[in-house]
Amino acid sequence: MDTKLVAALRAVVGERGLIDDPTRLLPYESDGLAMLAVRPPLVLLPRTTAEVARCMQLLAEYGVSIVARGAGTGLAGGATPVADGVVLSTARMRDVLEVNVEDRFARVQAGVVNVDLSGLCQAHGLAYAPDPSSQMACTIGGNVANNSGGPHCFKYGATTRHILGLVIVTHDGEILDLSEPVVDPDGYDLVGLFVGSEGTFGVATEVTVRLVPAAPVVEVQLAIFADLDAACDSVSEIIKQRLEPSALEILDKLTIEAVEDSVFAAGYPREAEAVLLIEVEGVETEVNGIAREIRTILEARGALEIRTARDATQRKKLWAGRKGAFGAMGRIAPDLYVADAVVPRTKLRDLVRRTIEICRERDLRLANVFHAGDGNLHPNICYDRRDPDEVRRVLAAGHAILEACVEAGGALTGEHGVGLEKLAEMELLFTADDLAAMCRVREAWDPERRLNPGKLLPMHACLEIRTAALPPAPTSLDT
Amino acid sequence: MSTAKADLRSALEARFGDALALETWSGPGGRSLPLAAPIGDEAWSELLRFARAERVRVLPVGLGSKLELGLVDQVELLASTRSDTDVIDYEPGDGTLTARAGARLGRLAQHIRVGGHRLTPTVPEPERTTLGGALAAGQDGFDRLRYGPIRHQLLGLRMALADGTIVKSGGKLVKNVTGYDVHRLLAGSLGTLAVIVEASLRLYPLPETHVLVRASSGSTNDALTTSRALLALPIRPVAVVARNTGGSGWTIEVVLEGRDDVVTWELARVREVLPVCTTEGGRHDLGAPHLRAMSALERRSGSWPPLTIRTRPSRLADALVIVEGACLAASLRPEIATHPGLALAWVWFGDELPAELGLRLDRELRADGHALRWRGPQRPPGGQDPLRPDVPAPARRTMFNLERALDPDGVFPGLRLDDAP
Ligand SMILES: Cc1cc2nc3c(=O)[nH]c(=O)nc-3n(C[C@H](O)[C@H](O)[C@H](O)COP(=O)(O)OP(=O)(O)OC[C@H]3O[C@@H](n4cnc5c(N)ncnc54)[C@H](O)[C@@H]3O)c2cc1C
Ligand SMILES: Cc1cc2nc3c(=O)[nH]c(=O)nc-3n(C[C@H](O)[C@H](O)[C@H](O)COP(=O)(O)OP(=O)(O)OC[C@H]3O[C@@H](n4cnc5c(N)ncnc54)[C@H](O)[C@@H]3O)c2cc1C
Repeated sequence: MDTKLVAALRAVVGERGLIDDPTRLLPYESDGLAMLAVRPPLVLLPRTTAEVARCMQLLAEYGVSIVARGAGTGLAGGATPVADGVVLSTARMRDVLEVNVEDRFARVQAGVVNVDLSGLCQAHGLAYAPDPSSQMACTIGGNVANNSGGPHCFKYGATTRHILGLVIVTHDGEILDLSEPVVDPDGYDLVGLFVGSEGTFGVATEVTVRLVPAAPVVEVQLAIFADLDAACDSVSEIIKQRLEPSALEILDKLTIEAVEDSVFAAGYPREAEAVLLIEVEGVETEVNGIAREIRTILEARGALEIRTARDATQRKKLWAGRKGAFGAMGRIAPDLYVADAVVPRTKLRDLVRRTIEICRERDLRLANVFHAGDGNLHPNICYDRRDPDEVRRVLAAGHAILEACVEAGGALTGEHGVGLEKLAEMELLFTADDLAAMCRVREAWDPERRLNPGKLLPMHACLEIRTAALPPAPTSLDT
Repeated sequence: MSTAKADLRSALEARFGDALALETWSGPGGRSLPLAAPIGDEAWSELLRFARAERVRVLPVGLGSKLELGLVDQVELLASTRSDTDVIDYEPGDGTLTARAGARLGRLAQHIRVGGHRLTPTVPEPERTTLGGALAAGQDGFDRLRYGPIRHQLLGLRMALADGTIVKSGGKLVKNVTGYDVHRLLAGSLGTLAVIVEASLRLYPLPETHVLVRASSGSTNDALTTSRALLALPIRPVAVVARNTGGSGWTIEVVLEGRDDVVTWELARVREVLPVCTTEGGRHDLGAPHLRAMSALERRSGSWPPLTIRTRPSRLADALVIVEGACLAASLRPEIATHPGLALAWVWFGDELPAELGLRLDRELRADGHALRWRGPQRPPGGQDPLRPDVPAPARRTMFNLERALDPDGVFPGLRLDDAP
């Protein structure tokens, strides 16, 4: 990297805001998709929007690529560095700028950790609804970039429904201040478009989020099944009957065992083939009514036992196993490949079965823990990255699972994003024309494609649009 | 000027025969334009390819009865989805609906009732509102407080781009983050970026019952204070509305819906805040006269509100003080309807709004930090232009880039995004 550029960047962010010592760059080599690792030459840790803007201006002058990074918990390689590009981390942008209780919004810097924001809101009887299972670490900026979900997004919707405004620094260091929480966007919905853009449109430096009132009564039900199919069918039936719990999560046997062997042990019975966690919230009457109807469905589908909790400590305990499931699985394999796909909720059982077959055929161990209410599967495949053959089989299984989901009318990702991981599969779901249109939208934000290059869209799809044999077109219309 | 443009009607007939069911659209000021009504992806593609080749500018419309004239003025042809109305897929087990853009919201609501679903928005004239038009206009229903804006209901869509290619964004699933949410860009784009040809929406359970609670209130301040008390209750109302009435008072309306037992409980809470009130309700029926009345709130005096104010909930009272103060000084009594929970207010001025009063309102409201939208002929000359987003210049530039990216040749009309005076 050009020494003059490095010196100029250092002048902007200070000594603590720049890492170029190779030993300290190690933690930035990959995100949660550990099988892909690239050592970046430089990591920047600015403190403010102005510093981000100044850095991005300098990087634009030198034509250097930028990979934004929150906590690096992404599972699709979205924050994997690119060779010769800098990593721009929001780790030092952790200020909560405003909590407006009356108008129910908060404004935070992008590096604020999800759980910290939720905790702060609780004190005011409010909640920030999106709660990824990684919420102890992941940042609001990362949640915005990936349009992240979480168990409670079943009722409240994914991140995009909770973002009221953003401050974005564009590819050339310009600041787009769209932070005012207005009812509707004026002009095109830049904020809505930005959410889910995986760091390819700009760097979000501030986020204005919607807060919702905390529910007065919450009940968690834990239904234990001797059969994974029955757990899946219960979910499909709950959806079909249009009941509205706030969360519907399934854990299978291998996950239960891993959880019970770990510090997250939640008292799930080891003999169970699956547990279904259901949360119902609202006013007392509503919770009673919905919980009763759900119980009837669970019993009809053969639940062996149904535990319930309304008290906060008990609820937390039932949830602990789900929230800690990924951490717990660290015990059963050195590495875990967390796949992420969505299927129509009428087809849950068939697709879960198919994932099991796909892994069995490839001699792989699979643990399923997923946002069943949204049809969002997370087949977690155990592997050891030091075993190249196993890595190959894992990737093949991941691809086969996505193919099966797309064939069943599903999609490639429900919440983790495309990143590097699913580039090849984009063509399963989208035509060349679809992808070309997305490339054009991307180039409207970042004409040189220096922001998270090579992510989200297959590169050749974008290159093709530049050379596409379009008929010569007029540059303007005579009116 | 191209030959096709000189006699567009004949050129369209020569090229497409009867396939486009050509009609003539007549608008205010004696303006008339040919209106084509393609059906199906292929017909849309061909029409747009023709328009691009012949340099004919097109505005995609639904029924096109009430169009932003600033857009109509930029085009030579209207292309309507009015005949492209099929329901493509209703999946009751998944709670999703996909339909062609010309499908009327009223018919779609009927279609999904059998499966126990309702859709949102509940608009003033559902039989005269197309799915594509509602999406492209970012249209709200009176039920937004509970269900959210239309852009949050949109799961994905198919669109015809300016060069005639048909592309999709999103899908039919309730959760999906594959690729960019280009569909979010189309929601509210007023026909300036692409033609929405098909769209998928998320659905909600059809409520067992509903109730409309109505009460009187004194001053503007009383009405807003009471509304805030209602909004602070642990209930999930479909709407809380305050509107001024003929005399000096205000009326507050609350709509509740859902399970029988929950509505009964919520009604008891509402009565604690509104001890003197009337109620109407029963089985949920979108044709019920009082629901029609609620959804027609936006069409008071038979017309759309010339002025819409959007602000923060805590600032709504400030905005209304400005409106009432300025109008009082001009001896005008405006009609006002607000959704205090959404911080949204609509204002009607009667037959005439003196230009200086309009300008004063425009100036004072904006200076106090409220966002405005004027629509129709009462917009004061020099007032906030509905086609020019009131956002910082860098945001307008990004919008300009997006318009150019999707419609490089200007086949569709544009927002006013350049910063030239
Ligand atoms: C144990 C575990 C459980 C998980 N559970 C869930 C879950 O329940 N739901 C879910 O949705 N995800 C889940 N994830 C995935 C991940 O946590 C989310 O995608 C999260 O939002 C990533 O946030 P981050 O701060 O770690 O972002 P990173 O991983 O650092 O970055 C993610 C992407 O966002 C971009 N980015 C980050 N910050 C910015 C910014 N400020 N501006 C622009 N772009 C930016 C990056 O370039 C990258 O493309 C889980 C991950 C783990 C490891
Ligand atoms: C001056 C004025 C004031 C209005 N005020 C209000 C109001 O306050 N509240 C309210 O609820 N409604 C209002 N409306 C009506 C509303 O905006 C919609 O126009 C209408 O409800 C939808 O009717 P439609 O389906 O016939 O669409 P149209 O009226 O034909 O179209 C609405 C807009 O969407 C575009 N469009 C339509 N179909 C498509 C498509 N398939 N793809 C891309 N773009 C498309 C059109 O170009 C147009 O800009 C107003 C309209 C006007 C002109």
